[in-house]
Amino acid sequence: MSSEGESVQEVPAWIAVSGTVCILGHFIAVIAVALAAPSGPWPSPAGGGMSTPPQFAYSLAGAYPVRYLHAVGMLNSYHFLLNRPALPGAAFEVRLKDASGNVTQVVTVPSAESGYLVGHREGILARALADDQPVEPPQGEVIAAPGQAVPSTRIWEMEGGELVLRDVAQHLIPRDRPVFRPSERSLLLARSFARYALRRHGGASAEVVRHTREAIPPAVLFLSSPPPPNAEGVLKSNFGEFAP
Amino acid sequence: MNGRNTRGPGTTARVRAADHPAWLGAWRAWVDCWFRPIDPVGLHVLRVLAGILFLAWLLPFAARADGLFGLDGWFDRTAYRESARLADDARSPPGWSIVYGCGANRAAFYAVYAASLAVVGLFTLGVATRITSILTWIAAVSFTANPAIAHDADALVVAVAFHLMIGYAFLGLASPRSGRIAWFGDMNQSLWRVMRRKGAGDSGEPSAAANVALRMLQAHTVIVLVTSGLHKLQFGDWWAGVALWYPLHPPLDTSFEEARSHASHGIAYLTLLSIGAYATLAWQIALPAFAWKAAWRPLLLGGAAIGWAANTWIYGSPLFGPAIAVGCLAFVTPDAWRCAAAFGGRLAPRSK
Repeated sequence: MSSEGESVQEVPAWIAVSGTVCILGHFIAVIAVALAAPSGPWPSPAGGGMSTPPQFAYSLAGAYPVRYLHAVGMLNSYHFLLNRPALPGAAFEVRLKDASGNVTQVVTVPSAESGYLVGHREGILARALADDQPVEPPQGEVIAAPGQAVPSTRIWEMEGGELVLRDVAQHLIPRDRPVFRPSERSLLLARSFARYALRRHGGASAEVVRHTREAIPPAVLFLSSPPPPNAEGVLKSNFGEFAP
Repeated sequence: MNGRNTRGPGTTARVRAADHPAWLGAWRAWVDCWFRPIDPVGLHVLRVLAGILFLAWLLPFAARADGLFGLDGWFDRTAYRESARLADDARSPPGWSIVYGCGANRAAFYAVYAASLAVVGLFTLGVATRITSILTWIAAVSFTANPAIAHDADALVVAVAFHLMIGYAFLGLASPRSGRIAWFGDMNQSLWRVMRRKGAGDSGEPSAAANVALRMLQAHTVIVLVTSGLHKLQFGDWWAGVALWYPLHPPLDTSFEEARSHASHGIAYLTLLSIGAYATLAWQIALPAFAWKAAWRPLLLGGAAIGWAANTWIYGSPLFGPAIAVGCLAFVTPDAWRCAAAFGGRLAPRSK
């Protein structure tokens, strides 16, 4: 690869060729994973829903990009959570209890005592617990197989001024109102943090209660009168008690 | 390799295409763009800035590091096992981390944490960069692996560390040198020494590895920002220009009355916010059109600076802005860095 005229090509040809293959392979992986993310939510007759990623990108991402980017620690679609504007505010508390069921300590996340950077990470954890999913009731009637119970789904139900988790048979999922459930991931995080709090602070069990509040829309600027007092309430959602 | 070449990655490749088929001209332009040896001063500056960023990110976690990153922490061993069974995580499994090797041993964990800080410190100072760049990347991946606290900016931190590692792993390998330097890299690449060398790189030579690393970081920064900008267009609030309203009025910290305090000048307030939202979209999505043009560099760097401030104070995201800023600084040419150093040198008080 000798230089000629004004062209400066001072690396050996084999380095240029192998380097080019690596660079192209790297960026094809990065772009494929970025394109292979679901998009939305988009409006649809059934309400807002996510669209599937383009098939070519999804197939390509499964070929090698996901494994490669996972190996180098760069597996990310760059569809950042910060881009979603109207996320609800979220915090949670862990009520540590002794063997008699008395609350001995309450751990609040995020905590005012944590520093800026740790508090920021606590806020991320709290937000991850607020990832509720809509539950669609089955279109037809669900009938259990002989000798087996009807399949059930864990959903949020209002009880005593807070949401609690209830296992409801699928044919009994309410159809007259929107129904939500915590994502599997948020349940996993709640259990994991409860175990951590018990290891760190001690106790026989830990109850995780999430506090959320919907985002305030900019339309409040143009309301003719202040909103009703109950409009800015914080919703409590009880994930239940966890043992070590 | 003997001639000094201070043209930076941001300059336009000039290839004489006469008497050659088009594909050969395109290949030469490609090689010139990616593999032309350049003064690695830009790589050294980014190393120092990124190193400071890594330290500022990791150090404040010291008191709670085992909870944040350890296997007995917020996301424990049981959670990792359960996570592997989740359908949602099948395509994005939790990452790897060297701290997993410590298990529940708190002393071993803190030894690894302290060693990681030391490695990042040495890399920032420019000591044995061929080795410390790789170890810094391993530390960056390891301390961003916890899915419970995964943040958008973590991916950018790892990307910066990865591309710096690419540059330093190969920097100076083309020239014959002592075995120690060949294995560990130059033992003293402090920024002060590099700047005083007036164009010298690892051993006073331009480097193709520096060019590849900076080009890759440039391209990665553009991909990240354009993808993120296009993702924003999936939300009606960005189209409506009210996206910045929400982080300015966090739900748990703002009452309706506080939010309505702008009602007397609501139109002007929302106009300002919508201009900010659309400027953000325009800067991100149009980035490929101006990022590589020297005349538009103030827009690139000014946008990065404003984005840094907005991410820190509006979004409360301390890591995102500086990581993007480091990515945008990869576009600055070696000549510009040298000019900045010379300007700084003139401003600095001289000792008699």
